[in-house]
Amino acid sequence: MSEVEAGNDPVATEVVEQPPSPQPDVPAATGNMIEARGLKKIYRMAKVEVRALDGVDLDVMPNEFLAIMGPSGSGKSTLMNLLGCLDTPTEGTYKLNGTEVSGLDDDELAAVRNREIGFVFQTFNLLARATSLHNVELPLIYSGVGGRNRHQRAMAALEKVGLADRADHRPNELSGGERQRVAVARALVNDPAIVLADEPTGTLDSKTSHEIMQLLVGLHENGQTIILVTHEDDISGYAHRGVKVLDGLIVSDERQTPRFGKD
Amino acid sequence: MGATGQSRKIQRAGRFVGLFEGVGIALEALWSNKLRSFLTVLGNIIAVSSIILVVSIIQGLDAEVTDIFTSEGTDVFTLQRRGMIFSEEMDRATRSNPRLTRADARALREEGETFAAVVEGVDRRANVEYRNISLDNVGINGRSYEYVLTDTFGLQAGRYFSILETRRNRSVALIGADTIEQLFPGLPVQSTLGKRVRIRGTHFTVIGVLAPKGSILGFSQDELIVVPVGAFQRLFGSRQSLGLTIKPRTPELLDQAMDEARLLMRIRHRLRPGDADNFAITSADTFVDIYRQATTGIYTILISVVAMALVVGGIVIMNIMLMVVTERTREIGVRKAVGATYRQILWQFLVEAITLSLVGGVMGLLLGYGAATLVGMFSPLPYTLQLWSVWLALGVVSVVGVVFGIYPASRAARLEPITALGYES
Ligand SMILES: Nc1ncnc2c1ncn2[C@@H]1O[C@H](COP(=O)(O)OP(=O)(O)O)[C@@H](O)[C@H]1O
Ligand SMILES: [Mg+2]
Repeated sequence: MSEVEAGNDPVATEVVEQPPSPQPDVPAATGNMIEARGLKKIYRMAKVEVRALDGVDLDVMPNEFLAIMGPSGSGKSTLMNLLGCLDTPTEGTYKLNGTEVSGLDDDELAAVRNREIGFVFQTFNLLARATSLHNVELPLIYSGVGGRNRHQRAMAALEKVGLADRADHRPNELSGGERQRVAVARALVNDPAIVLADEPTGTLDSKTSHEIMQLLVGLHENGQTIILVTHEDDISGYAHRGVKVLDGLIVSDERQTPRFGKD
Repeated sequence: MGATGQSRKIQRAGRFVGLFEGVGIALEALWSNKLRSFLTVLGNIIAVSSIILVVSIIQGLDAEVTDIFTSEGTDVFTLQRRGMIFSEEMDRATRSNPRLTRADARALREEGETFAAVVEGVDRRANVEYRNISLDNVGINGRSYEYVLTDTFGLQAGRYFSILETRRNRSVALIGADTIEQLFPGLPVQSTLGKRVRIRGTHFTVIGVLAPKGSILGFSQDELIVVPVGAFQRLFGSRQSLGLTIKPRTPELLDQAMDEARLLMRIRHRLRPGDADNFAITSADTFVDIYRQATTGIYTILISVVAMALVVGGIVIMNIMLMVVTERTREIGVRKAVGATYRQILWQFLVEAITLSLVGGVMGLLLGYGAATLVGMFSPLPYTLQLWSVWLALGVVSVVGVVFGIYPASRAARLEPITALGYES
């Protein structure tokens, strides 16, 4: 198992030695896109108690490109779900783009996911029966954007990922890479505060993986805040900041020079 | 925006897209598994087609039946040897009833205080000829001259027979509108007066032509010849019982007149207080009552059949929707991840259930209407498609969709996003 060791890391890290807690090199708490304090997620089973997250503090500034790394079972997805408001923490507070999220009800959380967050999943999670265009329109449907406006915004998002000419295709008529591009377009369409990508290249071959990563790099260059979850070091190498998670805790949080820039 | 033009049509109405989408998904799912879909909506098909078929036919019947019962007027009643027979027991009990005779009619006329008219009537079918034209099975109706008082349709030419012609058993005839046309094709009705037609070889002089009455349950009411009752008995003998149509002095006296007729007949037939009537007295009301009872029975059966079909159909729909929700758990997760609320998911699956239910309803509608049309074509039963029955049927299946769709839909809407996305633990 790839332990989280700086030595094994192929990413050229510019180590700014930091304790595994609060702000890495962020100047002030104000203006943070994400401000999480003492996040815990504890699953209580019949006998055992799984501490999937055991007190995590995290601050993310606008336009950061952050990679959450760690071995399988370390709590990456749990953290991601909390950050994406798909799940609520057992303990702790979470402020997203100025809004305290912990106290929100289900409908309010749905609205936050709709407006502030764009998800990119490992398995794409596109609606199989729907066209690319319709898949991209989905977040707009739920925010009540209608008609021409919705169509235009969805087409614009598809253009951003270079798939405007596949608008009428269904997922089964697209390659894996193209599907993930559609998913990225869907994540972008509502102009979210952050894009959350959980192992977005997990099922793709390495060439396609790098194409997708290039796409994310491009978005980041245009100002998008991106949080990426991965256990692959060459994928995390695209990010500007690496956060390592182990047993539900952040064990390191470092700025890094992206190894793969734009071609 | 170069590529915008080449993609599919722009959708309208943002807030109803969920609705169109739900309808679309439901129709697509229905289409992709036709047999399963058919079985799913079978309950609704049965329910709705029964509603449409039965309501159409009964409503059609209602109109005709009212015609039948009121064609002689609602203010008369009839006295017959035997009434309507509904059972073997009734058949046995009335088989030995004495015939009603012209003497009975005379007695009623003389002794009745409340009667304005007692019309003697006796019917059978026979062959009628004019020159080389021969008609089989024409209704020959023997009537006394009082017929003029109870015939509500009137004549289009000529006159009724007189009291004298009845008394002397003259061979004169009133001809129905269809029969006159068949015997004298193309001849103006006025010119048929005075012609002589042959019934069973006896000549009858045409003195009047009856106004057309149309048809009831597919049977023409205009294929008949009315002759004086005595002339009828000369032709066919007097063994056949008469039927007496009695008109009270005023419509208000109807009940009293019926009582009087009954009393007079019981005396004539020497019945003792405990004995049952050995004759039958009926009025239009009697028939209408019987008819109402019958249709109420049919409607009761209809309601139970429909209710059962709908409950079974609804449960099947609920099961299918639960299956659909399970099949599409991940899709629900995705929708929730991109911001769908409880209500939006609930609505989507509810729309799907309602659509499913309505598709069954529409199929039932077409089937019921088709069946009613076929019945109308191949039987004399009339039908009228009642718009209210269509709305009723569609309303009912919509309600079924909501009632049986709400549980699966709320199951879908309650799913936690991460659970639904099938996030590995
Ligand atoms: N729903 C759950 N119930 C119980 N334990 C869970 C659940 N989800 C995650 N876990 C546990 O939490 C820990 C962290 O899981 P996860 O965040 O999925 O790890 P990663 O994404 O880093 O592989 C694991 O030990 C996992 O078994
Ligand atoms: Mg994971």
